Amino acid sequence: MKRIPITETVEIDLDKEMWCCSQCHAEIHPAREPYVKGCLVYERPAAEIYGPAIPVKSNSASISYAPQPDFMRVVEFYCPECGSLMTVQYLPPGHPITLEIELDIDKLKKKHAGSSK
Amino acid sequence: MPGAIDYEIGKRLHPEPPTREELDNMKDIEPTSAGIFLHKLHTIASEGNETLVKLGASTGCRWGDTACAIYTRSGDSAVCASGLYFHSVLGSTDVKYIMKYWLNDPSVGVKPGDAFFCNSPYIRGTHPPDMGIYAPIFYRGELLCWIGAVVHTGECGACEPGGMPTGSRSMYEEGLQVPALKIAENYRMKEDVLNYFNHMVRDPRALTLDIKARMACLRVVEKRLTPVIEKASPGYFTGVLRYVIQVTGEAARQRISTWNDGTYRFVQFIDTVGILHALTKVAVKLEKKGDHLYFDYDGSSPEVSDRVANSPGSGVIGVNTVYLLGHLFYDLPHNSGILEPMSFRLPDGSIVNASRESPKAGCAYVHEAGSLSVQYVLQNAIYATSPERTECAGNRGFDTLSYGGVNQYGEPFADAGAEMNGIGFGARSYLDGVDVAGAYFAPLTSEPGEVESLESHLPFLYLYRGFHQDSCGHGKYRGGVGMDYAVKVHAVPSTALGTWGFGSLITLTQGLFGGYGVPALPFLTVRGSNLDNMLSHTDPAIPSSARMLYQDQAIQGHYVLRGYPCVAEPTREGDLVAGGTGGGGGYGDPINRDPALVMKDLQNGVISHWAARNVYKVVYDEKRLAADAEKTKALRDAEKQDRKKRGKKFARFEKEWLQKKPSDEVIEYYGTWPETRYESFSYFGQWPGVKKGDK
Ligand SMILES: [Zn+2]
Repeated sequence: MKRIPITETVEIDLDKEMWCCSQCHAEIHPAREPYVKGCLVYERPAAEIYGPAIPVKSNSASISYAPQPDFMRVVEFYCPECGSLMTVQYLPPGHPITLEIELDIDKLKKKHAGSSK
Repeated sequence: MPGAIDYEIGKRLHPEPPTREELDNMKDIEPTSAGIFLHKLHTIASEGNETLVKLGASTGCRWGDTACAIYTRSGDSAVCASGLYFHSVLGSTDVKYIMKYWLNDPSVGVKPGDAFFCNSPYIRGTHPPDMGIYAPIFYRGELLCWIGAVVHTGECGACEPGGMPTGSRSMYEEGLQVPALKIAENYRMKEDVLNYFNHMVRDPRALTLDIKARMACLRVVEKRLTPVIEKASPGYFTGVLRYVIQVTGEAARQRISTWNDGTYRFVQFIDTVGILHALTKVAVKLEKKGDHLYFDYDGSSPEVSDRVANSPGSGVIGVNTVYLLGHLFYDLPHNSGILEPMSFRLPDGSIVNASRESPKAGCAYVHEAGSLSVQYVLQNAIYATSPERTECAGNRGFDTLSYGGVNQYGEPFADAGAEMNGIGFGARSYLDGVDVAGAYFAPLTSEPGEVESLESHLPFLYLYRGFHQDSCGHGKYRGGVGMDYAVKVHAVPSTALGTWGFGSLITLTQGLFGGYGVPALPFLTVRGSNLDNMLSHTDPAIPSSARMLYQDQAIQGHYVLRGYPCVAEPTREGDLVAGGTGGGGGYGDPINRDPALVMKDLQNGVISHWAARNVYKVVYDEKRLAADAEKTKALRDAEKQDRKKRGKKFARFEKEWLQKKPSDEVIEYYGTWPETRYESFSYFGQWPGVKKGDK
């Protein structure tokens, strides 16, 4: 079995043509498609990462470190097996998920054909 | 066609084909001696850049937003000193314009001792404050090469002080815009031209001193260069300039060929359209094939013809050289050759390639968003073979003050704040990002300035400057934090104060591989504050950080949230403005961060206890700052289990997700939701299926 690291969080099993998790090595998704399609996906409330807003005492405003929900949401992608965070996307609500990586698997196989098994 | 508005010149960023003469001169070049010779040239350019920084007066010039470069005769950037590589590379279009229109024009011409001033957005691809002066170098009557000094001078006579108006509605409200004008002849400044410029701007002192600093830089470079050319022979010199450009392109090609072929995508958003808070998008798709990179910006938002939201195009490409030459290919020579293995497709009539008359003062927003997208598609491409070069983006928001008025000595002043040079850099695959590192666009040379020095000529009293807590993207390796700051108007009745930049409503700098992006960045004014009174008796409640100011609100007054950007408005003596620059993106899952590093961050005040507990999931003794390894592991395991519970399968998530949409107001200028597709494009570099000269 030959696993090629692609990012910090995902690798490819070239024999099986599968994306795998770099942490637990579980197979996630066919390698000819973007790996995000094999992840568990969750819209994370931004305040859970950036903290609660601070109300201004003298008026109704509040000071926030979290993105405004009408402008941007935080979408997290997890390994379905071990729960590792594979990638995070910052998107306006409803904006199509970014298909981050689509690799030329045939080329990749050719490239690694010579190296040891 | 003398004096033409030239829509093609900005597209000539890539190196020109070598001339027959250059090819002849390259024949006998031996790499080692060429390396030594190039080092000599680089040292000369560095001395020029030092001269520039030492003599300039504007924020940009004094704090290192400068470049000094040597160009080939045909205008390609060959040798560059400083970190502001994009000024150097974009300068090549200025030189190419001079060569095309003025070299053989009998009323202008190019002679020894001439110098040309250039700051036209449509030619050099950036906003009017980016001003370059270029001088020809002759040897025995023959034009050999060009040298250039480029600086962001801030104030340029636009409709708001400081050179980067938020509210301009067309290019005609954006001040001085000069497409290559002779500013010196026979080694003498033309006083009538300088006098004309000075009548167009709010801060003639800074403009004049910056122009003279550029002239001094060019004279130093010419003086040093001439004996070097003489000794080596002019032929060898011009051969080496072309040689280094070719070597750079070939070396980049070689490295690119080791990366995995594929398609990589990224989208970055901007939360301001002039004075309005609304969304636009810069989309980048990278096709990596063999030893060539094809960057496609189709899907980016359409041009906003009457708001600050657009770039002229070449700047979108040129700005990538900051990351490419300053980070990814830092070990290659720094010149235009880096673009040779790269091609770009920009949709016509989009924010990344807008028509001439639309406002360009905010082009830097588009450049920063675009260069972030380019950096991130590349990270996904390079990790497999070069994990050690993998790096998150440094903050891209440009968030800084803009100001103008009359200072404590009764002198006019107008500029942008040096705070923009205090951003955090991105985390790497093995190391945290650098805190308060510099400016994104000048990673090696820029700094946020000394408070005492700034206070000496500005009517400001700095209440504090420090690490902007939690402004980094959290991660296994965190981004560097930015800088927080608060400024009180001091010793004048009133001054105009506003901000520049973006990212108050969105995460503008994202993370990588499970690392988070940076927070939204607040900026506020406390009007009618009692701060002078608090300072008079050294009140212990005077805040010393943004967190303390926001949380305690011990200063009395009217708190107004203004954000980035906001138009400069009259701000009275005693009023306070407070904000902070953003940090760099985070790398990797934060719950994989070494708890000892989290404790160190707490000790340094770089992150909050809230983040240590809630984001990094560390259990620790708050007094001793000692992490409990077992309890931390248990908490982190529980988080992983919880993620598995709360996460949905992609298809199910997507079905629900795609039902959502921002409000109409937010996407008024976004274009077609969710994606704008174009039919007409501009090409920079060769593109499959497109012949040269095709639209
Ligand atoms: Zn896993």
